[in-house]
Amino acid sequence: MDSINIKDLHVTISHGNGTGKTGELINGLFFKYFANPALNKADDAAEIMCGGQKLAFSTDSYVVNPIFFKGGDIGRLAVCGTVNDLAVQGAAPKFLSAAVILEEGFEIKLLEQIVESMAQACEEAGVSIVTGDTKVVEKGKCDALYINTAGIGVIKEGIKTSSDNAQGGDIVIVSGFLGEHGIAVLNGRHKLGIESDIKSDAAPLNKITLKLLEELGPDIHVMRDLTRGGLTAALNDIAKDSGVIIEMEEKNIPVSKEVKSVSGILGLNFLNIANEGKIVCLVPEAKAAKALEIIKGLPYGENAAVCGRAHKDAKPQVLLTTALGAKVVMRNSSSQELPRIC
Amino acid sequence: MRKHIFIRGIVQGVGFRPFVYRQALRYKVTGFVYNNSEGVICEAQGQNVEQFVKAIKTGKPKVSEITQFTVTDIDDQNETDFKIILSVPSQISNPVIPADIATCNNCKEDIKSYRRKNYSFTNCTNCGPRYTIVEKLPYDRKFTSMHKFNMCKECSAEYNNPENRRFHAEPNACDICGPQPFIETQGKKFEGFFAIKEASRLLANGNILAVKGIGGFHLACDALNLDAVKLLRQRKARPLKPFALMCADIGDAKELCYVTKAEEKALLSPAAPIVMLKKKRDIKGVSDGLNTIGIMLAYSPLHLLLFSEFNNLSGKKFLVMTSGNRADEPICVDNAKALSNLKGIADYFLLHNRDIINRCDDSVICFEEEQPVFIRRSRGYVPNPVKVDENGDAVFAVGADMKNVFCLAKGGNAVLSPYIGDMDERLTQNYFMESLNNFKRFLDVEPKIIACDSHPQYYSSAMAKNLEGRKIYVQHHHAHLASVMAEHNLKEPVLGVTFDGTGYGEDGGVWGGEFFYYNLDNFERMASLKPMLLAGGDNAVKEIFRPALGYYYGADLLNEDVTAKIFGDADKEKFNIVLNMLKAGFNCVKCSSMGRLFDAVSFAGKVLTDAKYDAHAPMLLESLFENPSATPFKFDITAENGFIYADPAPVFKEIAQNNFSPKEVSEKFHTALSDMTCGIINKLSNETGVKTVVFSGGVFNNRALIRLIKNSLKKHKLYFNEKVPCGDGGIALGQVYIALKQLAKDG
Repeated sequence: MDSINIKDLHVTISHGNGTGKTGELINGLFFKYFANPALNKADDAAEIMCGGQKLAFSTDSYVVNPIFFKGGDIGRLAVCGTVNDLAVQGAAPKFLSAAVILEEGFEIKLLEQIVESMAQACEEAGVSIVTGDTKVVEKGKCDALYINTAGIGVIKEGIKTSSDNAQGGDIVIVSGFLGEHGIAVLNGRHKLGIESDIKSDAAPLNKITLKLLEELGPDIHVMRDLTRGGLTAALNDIAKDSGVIIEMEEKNIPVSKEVKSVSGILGLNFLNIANEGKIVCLVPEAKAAKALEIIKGLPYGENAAVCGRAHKDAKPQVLLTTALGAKVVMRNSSSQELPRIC
Repeated sequence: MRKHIFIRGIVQGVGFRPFVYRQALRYKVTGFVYNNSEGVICEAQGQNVEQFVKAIKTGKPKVSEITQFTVTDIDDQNETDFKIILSVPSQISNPVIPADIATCNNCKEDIKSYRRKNYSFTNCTNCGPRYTIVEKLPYDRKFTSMHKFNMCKECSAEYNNPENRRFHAEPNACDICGPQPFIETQGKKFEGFFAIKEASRLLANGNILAVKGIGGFHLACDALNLDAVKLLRQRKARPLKPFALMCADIGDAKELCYVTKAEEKALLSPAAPIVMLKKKRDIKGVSDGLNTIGIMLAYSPLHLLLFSEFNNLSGKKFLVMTSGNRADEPICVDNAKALSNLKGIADYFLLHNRDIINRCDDSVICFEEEQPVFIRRSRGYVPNPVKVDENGDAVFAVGADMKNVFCLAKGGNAVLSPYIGDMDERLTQNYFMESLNNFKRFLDVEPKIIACDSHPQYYSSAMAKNLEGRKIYVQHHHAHLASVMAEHNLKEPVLGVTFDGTGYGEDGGVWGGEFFYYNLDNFERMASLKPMLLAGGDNAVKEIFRPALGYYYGADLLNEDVTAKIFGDADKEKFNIVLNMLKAGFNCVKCSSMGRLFDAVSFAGKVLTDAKYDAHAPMLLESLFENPSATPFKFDITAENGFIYADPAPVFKEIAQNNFSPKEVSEKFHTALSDMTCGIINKLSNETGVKTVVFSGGVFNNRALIRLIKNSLKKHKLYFNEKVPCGDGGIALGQVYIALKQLAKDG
């Protein structure tokens, strides 16, 4: 891992956007110095043993712009994001920390709205914020406010849902309509004037994940939340880590008409757009119907659908059968979409 | 005096040895002829040996091509006859397989009578399948898909008789021993000529047939049956893109189209490509909106027999013959896959039992006067090499992502692959790798030098990255220019003009309306279209209102009237969002592409609102062009730090302020584009003293533009692509050439 060199002399925006550069920075620097078994797995949450109990531990910082957007705000995001990172690791989230960095001059009223929103999300998820920190920096040193949350949760014995656990023959289930969060935020940030009512899907998903594990236990092979890079990024990680080909059926992938149309207008692929309240899970074919029934029966899972299948292959890849029947490769987004067509 | 003759070129698998043998009998010389890995070797002596040598040199078989002909005097031998020495396998490693050859006139006669009457797989040393049936080298029946057919006594006799036209015709066959067509309808199976008859009946009744041919499947229907054509369009999800037609002979083509001498020659050539011809009259549904139609002549006995029967039944002469594939997949080649993949498209399947080993789409070509313009170079041309003057290590060039063609080069031969397709498709990627492995085997090379496009998101470049060897990244338009330099063996400094849709530029933008100074060492961008903002990635290429909006927004021309006039029909929400994207710079890229300018002008000038296929707008715009003396639009020419920009803002302003007809827009735009191009060339010529100009990029499929430029740059030497496509199908040749130059430079 330490053979990876960081070519840049300075940090650029692409070091933080989840593309190859981000990996370069993480592998070439953080992993090089921090290396340990729990970290090296690079899952959404680390699995650690503590007093004979397996725990999941995760942290995330929230710097979203704008801080309020259709369907949510930075506070709801900060709670749901960390809850979901723990949940897809197979854990029952229990306790969160919250650290807030505030820009001098930020309106207390707005701060209150955000804190209230955090409290609501905690209540919905059944978690408590048990420790915190507040810092204020001079005007211009940060943009309104940044929030960091960390969380821990308990993982039951025998549960393993990490991205290297997909098996040949597994069925892919996506828990609901894709792309909503990303488009709602982009619309707010760039004032794109999108008229259709596309709202962020930010939501805690631990009720769904825990019910799945309760009913199906180790038959839940993989769970991932579909944040940065969307479904495509999650599936590519799973394919690579598990050594499988994943074949998706475009016509079965859940997406709203609005998102499909708007993402087309924006020239974005909704499969690659971030979500904050969606997961993908892989289960054996025999359990797929049951898993789907569970997800569909719970809040935030109404539009779940079976939409793909994995099989073992020496050349891991994610393929999409389009509506016209062509098989195309589902590729991660680059920092900028350039036209290839001539 | 005895002569030793060495002949290099396309001289194997084309009937060269029997030809030499016949000349030997005619001139009563003794000696022998044989093939080796380099070419054909002949020794001869006798009173008429000089005439014999001359006869070989001048009367060579039609499809052969001589690149070297060396005669040396040697000592006489004691011998009494002239022999064809059969090649010993170990001696042969013919580096080049012949391309497939359309049915010759003799074989056309043969299928009318005697033992090959109505036989679909008739061929001889002058014609028939070659590349498409080869499994491995040497080119010998047992290494082709003909190996499973044992020749009958009569075929065998022909095959072994040096005086017979079928002497060592590897695919030689007849009705008794050879492959057969078959078709199943309602549980009944028809074979041989009965299958052809049944297929013709089904076509005449308006059905859509999948027809297995030489390089793959076609989807066929009666071109004059509008319902059948519409149904085929609907089933293939191909609403407007022109279909190619096939007919039996040149006379039929002339009924429908104007055919120039150059076009006639191409139609009748051994390659038998689809030739874009000017319509005399229209066939509705086939190439609506265009003034051209793509026609090929029946190039195998199966097709000829099909036409003869179809014509007998219906009195009609034209069939739509479009590629037998689903959406963007490669065309089908094997029976089972065709039956499953084309199930929803074809009503019936005319199959045969000779396997197609190497897929090869039909080639497409057009002519500007005598100048050939390749749109697709595939069947009939592949794998004939393009000569390049560099002899370095073997090089593999992966080509571009769209309309991919790759190239392997070794020892001065650049061998381009058949048309591969669009590289984002999985089956196309598999086809690419499969063809690459075949080509490496055929040419016996394992290149360690790999050239690819510098586009960071090209699938082809990502594949190149995974191959072992040194990578050479080549800028897209640099490769376009180098392809012309390679073809014409140009050494002097040139001015280069590349007009195309999309190429990744050195500054990270999208290039495509570019002027360069180029001397093979130094590649310098001197001028370009003024960049505009293109919003929405690949969708900005598919939806032509986006570049139009990019231009109007960038030139600050969007007042209320203009918005209503130019964009009044656009979807309101879409229009607003894209405009907001431009304002925010969200998902926008700087673009100086000529293809996008054609799109934008077509949209603004109400030539087309929705593009339904690649280059739809530019093709319509070209079709509308007639009057070369139309008063041109204007481009603003400005200079910034010595770099010249051509800004089309005045074009868009004029379109908004007037009510030009689509035809006027086309003529004013083409003439303006030619004026702008020639103006910048003259300016650059004055600055650099360079008078040679090379043109490449897909926009130079536009013959109106070629004509206008040729007419106004009379004092310059102008070069265009003539052997490979000027579009991205020619990129690989340029990549090869640059890599070879780089290697030569490195020593």
